Amino acid sequence: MTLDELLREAGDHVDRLIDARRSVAARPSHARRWMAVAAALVVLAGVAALLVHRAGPAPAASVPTPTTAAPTLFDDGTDMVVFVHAGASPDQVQLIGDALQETAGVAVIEYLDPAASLAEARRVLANDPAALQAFTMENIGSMFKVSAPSLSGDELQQLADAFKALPNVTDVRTAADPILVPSPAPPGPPGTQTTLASLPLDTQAAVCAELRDLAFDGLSTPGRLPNLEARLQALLASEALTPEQRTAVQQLLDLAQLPSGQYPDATAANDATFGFIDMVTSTCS
Amino acid sequence: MADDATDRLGGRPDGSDGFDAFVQGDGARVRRALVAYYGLDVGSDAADDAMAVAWERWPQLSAMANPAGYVFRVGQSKARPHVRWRSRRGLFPAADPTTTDADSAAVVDLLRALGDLPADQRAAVMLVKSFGYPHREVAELLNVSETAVNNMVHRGVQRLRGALEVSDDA
Repeated sequence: MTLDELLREAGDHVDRLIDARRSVAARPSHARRWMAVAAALVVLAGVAALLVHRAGPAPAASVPTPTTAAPTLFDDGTDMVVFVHAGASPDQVQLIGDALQETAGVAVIEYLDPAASLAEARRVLANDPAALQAFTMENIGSMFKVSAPSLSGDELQQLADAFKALPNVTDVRTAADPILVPSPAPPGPPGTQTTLASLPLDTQAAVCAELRDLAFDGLSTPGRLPNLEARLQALLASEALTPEQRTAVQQLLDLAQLPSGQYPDATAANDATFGFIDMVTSTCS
Repeated sequence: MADDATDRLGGRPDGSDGFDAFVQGDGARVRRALVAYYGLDVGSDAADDAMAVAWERWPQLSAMANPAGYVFRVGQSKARPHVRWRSRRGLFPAADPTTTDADSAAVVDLLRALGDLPADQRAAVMLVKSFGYPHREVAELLNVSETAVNNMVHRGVQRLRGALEVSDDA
């Protein structure tokens, strides 16, 4: 049997595995797993939801927060990150997850245990080994990455404020916050720090990292990114940008700065996003 | 998209707006790609999660030029945290749990060798060679150029040949 024939047979085998797995529902997906948890703490969730909705309708658009572009915890389209104390027990973590799950507007929750959180810190702090050194499996804690696409910027901020009050929650940040990377705080109780630092865009590698993140955010976040203009302006301020990159970034910024009435439809905006991605692919391979 | 507002408010009564067709067509391609990339367990879960997000955001998604590419990236973001602490061993189980048929030893060896390839090469090789998708569709899905797909398939097949000690590709 040739390799090509073997590969086709392997494809049939994997297709059978996929079908079998779907038909027997071998185990619930990450999202459904959360949904299967009994709503023992609806009270907590109710408080959070109440705090979100009590303020009434929020402005449609959030104001971009000036920030220096860098790898962030929000690169995958996450809207909000809930940091959990390193000393929290599994049950205590579960309570926070339950509360998030039961909160109106929360669509997707991902739990990053300490190992995954450390891996995330390594990604975000790739250019800052000194800061990364301060994190260990014992002190980094865990986090929930939350996607809530239907909430406005103000509603999201109120949700963040509400969850800050929950036991064992050390901090809550949204994509609109001037948060860039987690960095170690002065010595203190482990797992309680989420102070912020920024990374400069002074090398082509750093520029490309931000361009890739921006392209990914644009691809994975329908609609307009909340801090798009600030990120583009930060890129334009970098001397490490190549002329081709500068042109593409400037074009995207021009598009982003159009008055809302002149903003192109979804298809045109999507074409612009993919055009930007093409530039990133060709200049940052 | 006059019905956008209705859709966002949950007024979409069934899949007649194209979501079902998307799941059957592009969705199957995305699922195969995620399974090829991350293995059966993580890839299947990621595909389920990505489809859930696709359903939530279908009004916006249906207007995109490359919705499959978007859903694949969502699936990647769902899989990433989980794949970090899972071993790559056993990406594709050797036996189909619903049958008693034993797969040939050669296929089992190939699946193991595929598991040892870098994820992008594995995905490209499987999508092109095992599932028969055109290079253009694979490039669109993985958000890379057709040349990149070509290179990944070429390198992946070369490594498989070395690992399996076969030389033919007839």
